[in-house]
Amino acid sequence: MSTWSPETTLDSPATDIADAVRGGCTKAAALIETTLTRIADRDPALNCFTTLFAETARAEAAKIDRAVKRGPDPGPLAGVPFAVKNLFDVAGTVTLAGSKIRRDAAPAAQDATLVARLRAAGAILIGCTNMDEFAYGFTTENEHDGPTHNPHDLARSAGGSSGGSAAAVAARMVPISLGSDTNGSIRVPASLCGIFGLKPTLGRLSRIGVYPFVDALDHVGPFARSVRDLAAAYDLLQGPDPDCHPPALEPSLPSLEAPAGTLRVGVLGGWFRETAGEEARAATDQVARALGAETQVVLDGVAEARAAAFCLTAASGAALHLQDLLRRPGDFDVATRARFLAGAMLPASVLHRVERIRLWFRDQLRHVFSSHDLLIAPATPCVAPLLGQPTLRLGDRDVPLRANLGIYTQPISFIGLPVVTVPVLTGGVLPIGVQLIAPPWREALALSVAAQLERDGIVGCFALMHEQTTRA
Amino acid sequence: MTPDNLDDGSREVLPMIEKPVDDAVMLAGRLGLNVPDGDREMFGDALARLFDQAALVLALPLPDDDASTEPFTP
Repeated sequence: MSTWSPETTLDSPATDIADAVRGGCTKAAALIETTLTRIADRDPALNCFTTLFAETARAEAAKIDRAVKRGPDPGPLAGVPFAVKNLFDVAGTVTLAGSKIRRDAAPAAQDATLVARLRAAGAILIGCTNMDEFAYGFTTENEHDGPTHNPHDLARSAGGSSGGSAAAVAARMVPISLGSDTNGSIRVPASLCGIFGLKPTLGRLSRIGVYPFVDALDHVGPFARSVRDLAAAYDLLQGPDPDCHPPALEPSLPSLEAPAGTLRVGVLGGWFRETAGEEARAATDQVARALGAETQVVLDGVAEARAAAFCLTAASGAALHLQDLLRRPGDFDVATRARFLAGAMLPASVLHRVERIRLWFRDQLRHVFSSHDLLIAPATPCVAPLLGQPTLRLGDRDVPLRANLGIYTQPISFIGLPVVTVPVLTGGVLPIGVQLIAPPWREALALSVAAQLERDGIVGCFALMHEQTTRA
Repeated sequence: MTPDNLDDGSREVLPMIEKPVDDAVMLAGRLGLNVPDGDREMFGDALARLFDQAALVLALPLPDDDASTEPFTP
């Protein structure tokens, strides 16, 4: 039995960490101390964490080490540290959802279902992570908790709204984290931080104990540095739940190593192509070539589908927070408040039309998937923008950045399709991701294609600067 | 506030001019929603951007027969 140093182990895939702990090659307790030291060292510059659970993590690690010695089996993720966006309930902790308003709320009585599932698998919750207020944003520039910085360039955004979770994984502080995605909040930060992210089909994973935003659009899912870890986490997160559509169990790990086979892959054109920046186009083309994708698919009404998601989000968010908008508007982040106030004034006729567009757009995609197995599109129009950057170049226009960073993700989540965001190894200075969009409930297919691309060296976790230096 | 080209979802949103912002703030007030003085410009921009998107939503010609209401079932 060889011994692994906790420092090296922490950089390993989650599944290897668990194997090392279960095999007695390393102690969970030592791993947690190393994790806490690394967070103390790296997080002051990044601002990923808003809460740390040092003592409970130590206690859980000791329990796992005892179980390794005497049994029972501590689980498939034994000793693996993980983090969750601070809108997931953690028993005994106030669920902030990135807000000041919720700091007065009562602590959660129990863990969110997904937190409980990872803990039951032996993973150790190390902390909660930073996000845009009430998940309404794409940059994690939080007025109350400060911005999360991109681990690849501290002057840049980590993306949002699950920016803290994505950056914590990218910066090697944890191997796995959880986020939520209403309009792109897993896919945008995964792209900008250079890691893998999974937004499953709407209704696949439980949202019980997750602070809501837009009921019709809220998804939850994991981040990881490898496809295997992403799939391992996803498989453990599945399970029967009143919030999910049955059958909810469909493991992806068994098919991960099998060749993806001949697939009919389409590249989304039009809206997804015309305004994309050079890096986004190059990354998409690289994945398209690797998958032999020759057809371009131009969907009708993408601008309108995106607009419908935009309107639904503003109106639903306003409805959810109306009482606080009336009673304590001064406690909102100013940018959130302005958009919620605007959303409260949206006519019902628009929302009626939004639902009709959703059904129509969904039917169109149903038809497209009768002749395609997978679609690909950029995850973001550009690499990570600077923090505080007001505008974004889209085609030949400068548009407000915060409203437009998710223009390629919003039309897809609008109809709930599953997406794996993969970091493309373009050789660029900053990472960028591509969306692998599967038919509904085919997460396993998207993960299997992502695994094939990873094996072929087309995609992979973006190395941190010091690692690039070391390798050079 | 009327978009000049409803087919172009990527066009730049122009800030609301002063009078419509006054009107919008007044209408928000009728709903009991207080727009703080410091928020007027940001609120005006957010409302303009949202209504531009709403205009796109309303302008899309949909087929007479409604799309299937069948959800994506597993």
